[in-house]
Amino acid sequence: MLDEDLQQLVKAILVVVGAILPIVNPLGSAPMFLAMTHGADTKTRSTLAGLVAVNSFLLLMGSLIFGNFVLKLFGLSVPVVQLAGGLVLCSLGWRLLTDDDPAPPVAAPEEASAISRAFYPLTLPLTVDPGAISAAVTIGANHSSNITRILIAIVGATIGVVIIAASVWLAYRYAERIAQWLGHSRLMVVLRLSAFIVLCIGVQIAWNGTKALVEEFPFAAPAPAGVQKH
Amino acid sequence: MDARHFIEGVFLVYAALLPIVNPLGAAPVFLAMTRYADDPTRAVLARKVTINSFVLLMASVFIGTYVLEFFGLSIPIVQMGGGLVVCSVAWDMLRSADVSKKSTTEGVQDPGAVSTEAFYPLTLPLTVGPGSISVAITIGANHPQTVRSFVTASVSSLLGVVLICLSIYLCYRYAERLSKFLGSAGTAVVIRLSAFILLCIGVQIMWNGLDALVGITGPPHVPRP
Repeated sequence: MLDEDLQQLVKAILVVVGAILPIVNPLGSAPMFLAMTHGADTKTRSTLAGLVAVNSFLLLMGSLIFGNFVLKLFGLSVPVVQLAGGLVLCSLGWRLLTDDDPAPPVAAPEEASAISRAFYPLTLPLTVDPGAISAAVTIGANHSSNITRILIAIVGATIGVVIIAASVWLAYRYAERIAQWLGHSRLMVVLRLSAFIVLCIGVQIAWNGTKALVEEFPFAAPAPAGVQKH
Repeated sequence: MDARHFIEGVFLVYAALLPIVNPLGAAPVFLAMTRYADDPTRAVLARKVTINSFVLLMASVFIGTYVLEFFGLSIPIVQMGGGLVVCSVAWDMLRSADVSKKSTTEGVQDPGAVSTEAFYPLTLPLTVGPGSISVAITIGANHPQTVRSFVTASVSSLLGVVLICLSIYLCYRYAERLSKFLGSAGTAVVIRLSAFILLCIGVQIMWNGLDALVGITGPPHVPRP
């Protein structure tokens, strides 16, 4: 019995880490974190990395456990969240890409103002993007009737989310070393490229939402299978 | 046998990329963006844009597929997002009263500022746009079976990209002569016209992406990255 529970627990951890970690993608978002915190000193940055990790943990746990109820409360569907969230991500990527100087070096950045950005835009939508939230909501939607199973699922999800938050912290905490190694002008190139990638991720998420919405229409018959356009 | 494959590969890469990178067409746009820069600065910019384009194209050919997979993106989505960026740059150029408001008049002495400008917007998306990137990724996506053919394919795409970058450098370096030949009124006309063409290219790229996503002219054919 205990053996089976342990197996269940490991499975729950693996599902959460396997489904959410590639979407949160801490390694990929580390350059964006650098771009948004340009001009901040090491101390502020490490505080921010910690805050973002804690925020991400809370946000992901909230989405896993309460996500469904919140969506139901406001009468929302997951595709709609993806569409709206994708648009927010697009706008963020657009601003990073088209700013004349994506990150004006601030002489003495006020720590308070830097830290007020820890939730928006650093945690949502940069780290925990709408894709990650919808994945978490979907995982949380599988309810079990057995009380032991529910407990195991919650413990497994908590451990999984802790792993994700820890990798976010590690990636963001040590992003600065990479920046120092790259130098200013090469860093700017990396920032522009990652801004473009953020824009594309936003388009991808918005498109996924749109596609799911359009497929709900009765007239949108699925494309005939087997026909390939060359 | 290998020599023929090799030369074919070089020409394939060159022929596939040249019409999209289109250095001759991009030269007036390059002029417009660097209108108030002096000759040495422009020479530096031409060299930097060439090097940036080389690195960007090589990266797209060799690791483009993996980068897209890493972020969970598909090529049509890159075309949609990139087409939008191209449109916005072209729209600004077409509509602004002074064509080169964003030129490098200030800070041209600062090598850091020059190289920042040299990447965005001069290299991406003006020279190597989303269209070129998606073509380069597609070229790199054909994995050969044997080690030998892999080496042949890699070296030939390397040479093809070098040829492309050489064309970019020649066109950008001598863009100024062209503008002297055209005169200021002629240059202004050419710049507006190429801004309009750039806008149309942006719309075309977006449309290609959208078409691949929803299958307007046929069933959707999302190419797997």
